[in-house]
Amino acid sequence: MTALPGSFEGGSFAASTIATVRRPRRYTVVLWLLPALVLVAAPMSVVLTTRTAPPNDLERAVLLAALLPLVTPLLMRAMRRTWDPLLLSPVWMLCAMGLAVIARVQPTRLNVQVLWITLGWALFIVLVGFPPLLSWMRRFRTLWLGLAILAVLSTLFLADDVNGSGTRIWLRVGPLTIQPGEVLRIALIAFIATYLSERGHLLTAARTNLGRIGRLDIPSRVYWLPLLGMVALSLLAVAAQRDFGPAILFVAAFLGMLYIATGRRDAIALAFVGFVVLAPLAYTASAHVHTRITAWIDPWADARGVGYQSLQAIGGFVFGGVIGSGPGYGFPGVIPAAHTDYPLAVIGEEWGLVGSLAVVLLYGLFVARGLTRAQFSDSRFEQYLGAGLALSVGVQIIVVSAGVLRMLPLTGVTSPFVSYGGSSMLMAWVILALMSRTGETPSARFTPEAGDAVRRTQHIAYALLAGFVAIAAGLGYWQVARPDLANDPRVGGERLNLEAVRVERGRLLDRNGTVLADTVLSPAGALRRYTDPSAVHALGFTSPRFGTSGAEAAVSDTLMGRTTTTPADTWRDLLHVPRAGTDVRLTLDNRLQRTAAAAMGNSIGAAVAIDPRTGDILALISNPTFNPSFGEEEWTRLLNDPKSPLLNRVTQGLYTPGSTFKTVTLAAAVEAGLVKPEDAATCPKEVVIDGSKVTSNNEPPGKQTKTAADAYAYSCNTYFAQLGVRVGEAKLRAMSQALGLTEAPPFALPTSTGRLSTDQKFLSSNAGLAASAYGQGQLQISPLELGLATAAIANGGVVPRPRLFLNDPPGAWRSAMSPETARLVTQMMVRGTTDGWAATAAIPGINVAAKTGSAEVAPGESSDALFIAFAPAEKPTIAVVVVKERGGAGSTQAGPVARAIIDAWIKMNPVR
Amino acid sequence: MLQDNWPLVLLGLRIGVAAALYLFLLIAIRALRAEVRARTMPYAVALPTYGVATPSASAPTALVEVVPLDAPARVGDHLEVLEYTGEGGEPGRLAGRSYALRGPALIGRNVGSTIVLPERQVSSRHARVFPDRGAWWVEDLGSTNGTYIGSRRVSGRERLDPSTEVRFGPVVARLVRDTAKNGAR
Repeated sequence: MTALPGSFEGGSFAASTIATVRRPRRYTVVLWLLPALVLVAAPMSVVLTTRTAPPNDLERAVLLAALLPLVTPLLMRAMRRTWDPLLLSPVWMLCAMGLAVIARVQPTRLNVQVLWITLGWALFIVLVGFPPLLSWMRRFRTLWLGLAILAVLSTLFLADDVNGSGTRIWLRVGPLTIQPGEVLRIALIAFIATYLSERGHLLTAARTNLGRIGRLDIPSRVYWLPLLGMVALSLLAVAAQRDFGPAILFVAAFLGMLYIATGRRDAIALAFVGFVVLAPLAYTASAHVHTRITAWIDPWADARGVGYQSLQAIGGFVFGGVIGSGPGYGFPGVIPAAHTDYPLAVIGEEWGLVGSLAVVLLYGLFVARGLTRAQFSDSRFEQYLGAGLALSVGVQIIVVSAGVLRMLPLTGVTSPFVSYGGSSMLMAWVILALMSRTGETPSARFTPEAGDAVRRTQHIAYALLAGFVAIAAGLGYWQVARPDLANDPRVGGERLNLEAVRVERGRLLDRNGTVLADTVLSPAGALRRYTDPSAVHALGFTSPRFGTSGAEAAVSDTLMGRTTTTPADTWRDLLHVPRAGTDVRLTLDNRLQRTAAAAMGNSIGAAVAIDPRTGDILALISNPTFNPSFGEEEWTRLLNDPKSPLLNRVTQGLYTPGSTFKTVTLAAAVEAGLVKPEDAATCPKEVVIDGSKVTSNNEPPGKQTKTAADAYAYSCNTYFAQLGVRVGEAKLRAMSQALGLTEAPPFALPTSTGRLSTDQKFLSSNAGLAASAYGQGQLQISPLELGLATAAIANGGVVPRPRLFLNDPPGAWRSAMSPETARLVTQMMVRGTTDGWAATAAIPGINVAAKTGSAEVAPGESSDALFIAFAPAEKPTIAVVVVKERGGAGSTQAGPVARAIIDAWIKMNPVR
Repeated sequence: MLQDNWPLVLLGLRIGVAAALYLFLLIAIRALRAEVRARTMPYAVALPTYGVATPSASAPTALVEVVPLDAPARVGDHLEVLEYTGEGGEPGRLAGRSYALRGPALIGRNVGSTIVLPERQVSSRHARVFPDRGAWWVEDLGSTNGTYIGSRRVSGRERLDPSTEVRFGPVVARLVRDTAKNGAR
């Protein structure tokens, strides 16, 4: 039992016997010292990282600022004012983070910001120490408000368009530029608080002269007209400036205070409806607002224009992630006007979610403290004033943060205490002074009326809490859930570009170590050079503007040295040891690639060579190619080129396989035991299946089909049409699926999914089955899928998993058929080069297994020329697919290309 | 020495700032919660840190001081409704009900009241019962049918003793003190 410490006015408990429970005092000391430490440490951690010179004025300025939170309690005590650490300390922390932002993006203005903080603080001390502060606010309310409105209106004639944004809201007073809108907010809130505390009870309409409209009680107009009139006048004044940010804060503060004072939800609902109705007016009235809303709805649409700022801010959050890039190591410089409009994005980038969330929590604490002070005040005026100020600051923070996080359009209000800026900083300190003066004598008596106000203030607090939770969720979304955006050139491009200069991107090498791509660093930026233009679809490109593709995209992290696999890597990252890009070795063989490119010439189409044992992609040609170091104009041309040069035809092109698909039908039939190579067979000129006619005049001159092997080698459509019907839908489907023709192959580059038919029931009819069996129908298969199926036959029935990087382990993708079936099909494919259409790929001394295809894709046009082959048949080391669009006959057009590739490979890797 | 481990120093600074921010938030949010709780706690008020500071108290002042009222006002106290006649001579629906008193209570027909007495002759905001100086007090809030202690109509605030009956319009109730435990909480 101790005596009641101190006296306090109005305490009705002073006389009673009271047990005092004291909280430990050390917490208070912590709350006193921590802000000073952070005020030094946060900006210093940036300054020390980015500085190039020994300690200078900047650092001395920061040290000076740290003295302010230390002397504040002493000064306030001297003035017999109570120091409230819960209200003041968050402010210092916020100032510290603001200094860290300015030290990063506007280092030369750091001392100016320190000066603004000091001035704001001095203003705070003066106002807090001025005894009749609140009673003057009350007594001269109309004068203040009138002056503020006049000041706002004067901007219409005297304003400076300080930042060239088109909104003329600044007044120049000597060296200062002031936004009268900020002053008007405070004057208006003080006016409303006075009015409501004096006449608020009349607005509840309980006993006053009231009318009714429907279910709405309307108090006599003499009671509400002055209040509403002043609010409307203030709104009109800022609306005349075409500045709608403050208008939102006015309306929010007014409605909140009205609710706390009267509890009239109907009035709030009415005002809300009015707001919704009037908001579109703002949209049409101002081009500025229009632009901001356009930029909000889809910043990607004009990523280099109106959406630029917003996307770069999002990029900051994305790059920051959870722990941030570290102070001084982010790229917040790419965000225009970051120090005034987007400080939260800078904090999110450099300090991560850890930092940005802390800032939001600090704001939340500040607002919550302001509300509790107001809530328990014994004077109605202070209750309303404190709540109105806290509410307007809370809404301001929610609105500006939501704007930065693209949850709402940007409104052009600043982040109090954090943003760089004169008048907003000063006015924030004025608000702080007023909040410190409210609730100095809390109510000891709990009257029902006060209870209502307390409860309603609680409701306001919950509404604000919901807003802050939404902001925290927004931070989490961008900083944790969307790492993919880092590679979106419109979001992360600028930063990737800067990072590319910082880290030398690793080289791309072929399987023998030949350089395919390397980087030259120069002060102007990083230049990526490619040695083999034909490999562009495999290698892809990397551009800060247009993104990355191909292998460049698939192993981007490795190339940039961004793979943190061990704790040691993470540790090095934290210490900012410069990372080195890692070279990546591809499975491509540069010599084979060049041979293949030469063989393909300018023909539009695709060619791919695969090692059937490992799935290694040895060569990958997609014609036409493009120059990977394209500029803006060429990019547009590439996008609109009808020949689609950007398309990787090997992995994403889908072609009718033509007669090459007979191999699949054959494999299905052999696997089912329906056919052996030596089985007798004929090739009728014409058969009718299910009423549709199939013709065949494929036999080479002077040859006649006698066996199944002949039918395959001579590519007899009628035979395979009939065979397809014998095999049946289920088995043909099963074999296609087993070969992976109906699935997107697992690959480092994006792949397309082949299909047997576009129409679900197409294969159920015998006609459809017959047409598919010889490779027409509705078949659509990518060259890569076809190549893997060919490799599967070469590999004893096992489909290899395709791989592009030598570091990936080779492996099987799936098992398609028995080794015996594979052997028999191989045998028949060899027949194709010795005695059939595929003879164009025959190589002396080597057994080449092959099948031609000439797919009819459009009536009256040349067919697509296709060719599949592998060699040597006994122990295959290479499987090849060649497609020439509108090339004509597969045998004469695609065959020689396949032959050249196989020949080159076998010469390079002689059969042992 | 410092120069050699410069990256380590910077990392320490960075972690230090983050740690300081969250340490501060932890302490501050706990303190704020404690204070709000103390203010709404039964029989207790928080002494504000922001009363006029006494010169003798060293700055910074203590953050929150919870000062519970001493007995005899206790947590277990409640208001019990006795037999009464409802509308149309029927027995009242509320007879026998007991309402815990956990602090200042507003009594009335309004749903928002602390103790809701849904009887037509009870005013929407009828009276309030509150603790002060270790006792319970009742105050009429201008009700139509009045608040009575015994047969005497209450005007202003009057002390409520366990022995006497209190009547809100037609509803007769009695204060029951908790004798089991002593002290708040």
